[in-house]
Amino acid sequence: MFSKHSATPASAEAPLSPYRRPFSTVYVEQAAISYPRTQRILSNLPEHEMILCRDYREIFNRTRQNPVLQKNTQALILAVSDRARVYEGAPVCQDFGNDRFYYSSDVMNCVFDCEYCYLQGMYPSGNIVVFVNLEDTFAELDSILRGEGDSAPENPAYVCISYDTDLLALEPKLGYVADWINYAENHPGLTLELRTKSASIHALRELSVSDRVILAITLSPDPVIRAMEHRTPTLSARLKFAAEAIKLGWKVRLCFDPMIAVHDAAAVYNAMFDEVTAALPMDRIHDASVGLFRISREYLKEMRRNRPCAVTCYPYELSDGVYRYPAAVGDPLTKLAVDRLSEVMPRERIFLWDDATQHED
Amino acid sequence: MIYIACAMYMEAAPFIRRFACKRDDSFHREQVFVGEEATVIITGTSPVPAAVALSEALALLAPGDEDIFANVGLCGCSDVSVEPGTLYLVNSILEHATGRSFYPDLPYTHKHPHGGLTTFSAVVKDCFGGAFLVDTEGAALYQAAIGHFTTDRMYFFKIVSDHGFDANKISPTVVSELLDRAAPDVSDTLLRFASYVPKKSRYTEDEEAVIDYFCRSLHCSVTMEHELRRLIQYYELERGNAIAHLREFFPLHGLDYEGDVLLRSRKEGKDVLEAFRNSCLC
Repeated sequence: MFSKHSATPASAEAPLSPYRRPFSTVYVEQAAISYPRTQRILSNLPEHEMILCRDYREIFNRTRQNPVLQKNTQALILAVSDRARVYEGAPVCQDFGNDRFYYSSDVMNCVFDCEYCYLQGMYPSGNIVVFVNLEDTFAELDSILRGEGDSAPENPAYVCISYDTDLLALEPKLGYVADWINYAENHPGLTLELRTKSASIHALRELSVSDRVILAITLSPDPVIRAMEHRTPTLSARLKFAAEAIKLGWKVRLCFDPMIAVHDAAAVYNAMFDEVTAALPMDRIHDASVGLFRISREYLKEMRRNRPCAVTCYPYELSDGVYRYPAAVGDPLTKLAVDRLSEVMPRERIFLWDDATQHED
Repeated sequence: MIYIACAMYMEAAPFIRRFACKRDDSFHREQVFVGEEATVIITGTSPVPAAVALSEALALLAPGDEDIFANVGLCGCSDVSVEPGTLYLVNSILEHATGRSFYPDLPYTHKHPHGGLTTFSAVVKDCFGGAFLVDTEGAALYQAAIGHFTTDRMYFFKIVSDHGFDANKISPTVVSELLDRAAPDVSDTLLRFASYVPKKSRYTEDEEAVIDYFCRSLHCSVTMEHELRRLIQYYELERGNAIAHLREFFPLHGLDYEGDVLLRSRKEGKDVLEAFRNSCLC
């Protein structure tokens, strides 16, 4: 059941970083080992130590983990999901006016390390779980697309496939985006949203362009990226990536969500919008979303315990179980974003996350 | 501080010497040796006595968030090609009696090979049942220590002593030789791991006195104190020098740190706390 020796040769010299390489440890559920997708993923990880386990929860749900530290040396856990991985969209998620709004969670956790990320409040671990039985998710979506149990089955289904992770950043290892695109191409009435902070033009060029997919690129000002979005690409790299995606024919959504009320936020965000509008052909942007940072009380409690930082220590206002910026702080920031975007694109293509309507105001 | 748990004194002796530990006589049931960098605990052999001894010792020693734990001891190995004296760092522990598994994190680079350990209730000499490394304490010590250490601060070093069938060749001299040979490597690795544990930033005594005065002067409840400390932390992270901000804030609201002036009621304290919150957001 257990590994005998490390497949990774021991390092003789003391390296610069004290941490072991991400994905140098791969835990594999016994049930997952026979899946072709497991073998495909393992073949993309040339130097790794594989440890067999009975159930991914033995590792992912251990008590007394240190998720912040684990982010420096993430392990990969390959597992078979025993339950549905497609969920109806949560109230705090933007649905872009779609009635049949779902998200799928075939990968839990993200390679990036954003201090404000809700996943830190949601998961007890910083490691990444990948469910290799993607076909079961597709089968479940088949029944959703057939409209089983749905009052308005004629409406198209909108599925966010990269909510609890960043699938595109993992594409060289997992290949899940390609699998999703193949699925979407054969299923009319399905639109996918692929949200990412990745700037890998190489990964993008490996994919077939699909008009069934909205590439949702999250943009933040560089001071926010440097302070809070650890290991993510710079703003200019993300803009270069977005420009290339537009050139290749992808539908590109720009996500200014979450906006963070940093010191001198107006100047910081104005500088970002200057850079965005100069770098991108805004008339070719599919749409844009704007939203302030907001988080459920339970998640913030956990995040404050694990990672006291400027974004978690901020004195938010609590209402209906969700922490938000006070209106005096948040409203001007939202207005700034909407005003700046309205200068370069039609207002109806700007989606604003709103407590009351949850979509365009 | 590095907490090292060994089943037998013979296994612990090189660490007691290396870290210049002295016996702590306040422990009556287990032997505990305390040094500046390490504390060595002799747990006794077999799962239950070992877990009880370690639990009891750790409850009294009260390790902190920057301390690490290690279990160092001999083990059997099913692979006859593995030489006695080979040192493994354990990456998974199976408790044979219950079938439960435990996984230390091993976040840092090191030069030791990894191995899976199975903990049996008693010494096994012939059939290891598919296990690679075998001992009689590892799983029990993991469960005793997990209440005090996070999974990234627990290490299990196992030194191969036999392959089951040749266990009768292990004499006290052999045990001492094997441990003496492995101890310098283990000690160096543990010191390195301990140095990597992120250190929490703390206020100085003077800074803490200012914060404490602020809490007292506002008649803070526990909830108010949590909020106040979080605001101070937010200000420190976002703008820097929160204590200087506090000192400037005090006289604006009738507070005097040097004079230890207190507000009349908690109600007034709540108003000042609100004002402090607003001052942090400006």
